[in-house]
Amino acid sequence: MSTELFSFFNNFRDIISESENALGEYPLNSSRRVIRIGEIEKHRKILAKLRKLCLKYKVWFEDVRGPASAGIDVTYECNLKCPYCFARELGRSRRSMSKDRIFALFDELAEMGVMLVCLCGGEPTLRRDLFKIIRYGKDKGLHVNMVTNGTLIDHNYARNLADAGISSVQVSLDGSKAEIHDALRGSGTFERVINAIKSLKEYSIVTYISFAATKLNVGDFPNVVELADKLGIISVRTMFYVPESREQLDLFPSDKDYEELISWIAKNRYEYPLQLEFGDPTEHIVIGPYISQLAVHISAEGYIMPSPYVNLAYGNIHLYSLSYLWKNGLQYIFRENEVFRTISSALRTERDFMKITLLLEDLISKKILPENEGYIDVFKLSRKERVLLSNSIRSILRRDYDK
Amino acid sequence: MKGKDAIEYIAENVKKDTERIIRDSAAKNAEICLLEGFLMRYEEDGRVISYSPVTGRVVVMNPTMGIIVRILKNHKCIRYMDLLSGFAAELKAAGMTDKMGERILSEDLLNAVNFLFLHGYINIGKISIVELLEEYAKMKISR
Repeated sequence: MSTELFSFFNNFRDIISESENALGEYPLNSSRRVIRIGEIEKHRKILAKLRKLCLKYKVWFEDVRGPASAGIDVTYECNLKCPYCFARELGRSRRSMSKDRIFALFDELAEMGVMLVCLCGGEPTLRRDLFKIIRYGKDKGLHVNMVTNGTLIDHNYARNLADAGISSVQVSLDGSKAEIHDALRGSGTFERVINAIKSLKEYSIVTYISFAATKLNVGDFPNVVELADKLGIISVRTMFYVPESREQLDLFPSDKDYEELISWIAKNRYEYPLQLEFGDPTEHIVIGPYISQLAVHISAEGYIMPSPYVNLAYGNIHLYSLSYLWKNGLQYIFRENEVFRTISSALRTERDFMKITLLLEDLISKKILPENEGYIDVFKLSRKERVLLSNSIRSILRRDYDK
Repeated sequence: MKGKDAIEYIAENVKKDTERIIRDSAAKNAEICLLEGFLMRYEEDGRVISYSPVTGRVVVMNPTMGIIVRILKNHKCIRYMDLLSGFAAELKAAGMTDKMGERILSEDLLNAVNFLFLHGYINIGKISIVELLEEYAKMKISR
């Protein structure tokens, strides 16, 4: 085993170099457009090779007792109406998960060895019992994080968050000045968000910024990073914008916008004492067949969502325990389930999410497939229905992609 | 500097230095200390699933690294040679050392210690990867 371990490191380096070379075949500035991970066919072959090697030496996230992290949509209520919100566009109900249900879920997550929990939404700070929820999670040994628009966090609220034991907070900031941020999120929100960040920092709460890049604000990203640096933020994240309706397509940044944004991040990543991160929302789906699920996401109605961007669920925690679902398909959902495997192999860009959403709406309205509170629960579908759904998804993604 | 940036920066600039530090420390028998406060869990097969304190990303340690982390957890700080003998004893107990010489074991241990140091789990002789990165950042700015 020992000499093999040494060769593992060498082989691993070779495969990583191969991966870098594959990416290098798509130089950012000379290509006609920005490439997503799902569009690089070679990448899948490299991932398969890497998986085989890492499995041999047990350095791979596979056959494990539970996910590493879990996202929970504790409520879908929100005090803002952002034009690019995918949750609102997907018609998710205004329901919230009950406190007792969250506590029971925390018990189960802790038992499964989950390390991180993210409270998402909606806007979690609208919940009056939020501090109790955070404290309960912390007492269970979970590191509880939160995603918020920051508009309801003041000095006292930040102190209560710190007292409850929050691990980190991700605040949305879409512009470096009020005229940009407020145009997207509503009048007066910029000032409230900046005050929220200052309050969180005052209580030494680890704070991140997420920047939703649209064509209206994408050019302001460097200024947001500059502002984040002054505020003592440790990370600024952004990613490809995910439109969920034809109306939301109007906000889609151009490929040139993305090229400029990604180039700026590449050039300036060492110039600030913070992490600059650009994400590809299709990545977890493309790499899905090669790795066990790292994270699970649970909707406010209790549905397990392998991807938060489509209303396709895999079971409901009100009906089955999470560990039961984990052992019965959830762990390898993108490898073993026909529907999700199809999505993984056919999905190319973030725009494909909208095509799937429109297809699901069509299938539900024509009563071809049963719906549950706006979701199609794949766990409940018969094999015949799963095959039908797979074929429909493959057909719509391939047809539109070829165009 | 954190995350992917940090790892790339290490790969480009710091890695040769860390290898030198580890080999020097091993030769001088410096203390290796496990830091506290990072998230980790053991799997049944001995692997450790964790979040790297430097990158914030999921890390899977193989059972060899799992043994080292367990030894370090018990002692908190341990001299390199003691770690090597503890590591050898653990492997022997598991019936895995029959065909292995000390040189191979030591090489394995160096690889594992390098991995743990680069991902911010351990300090070697009071040097941490974060301090090393900060030094490099200062040097870059002063240039």
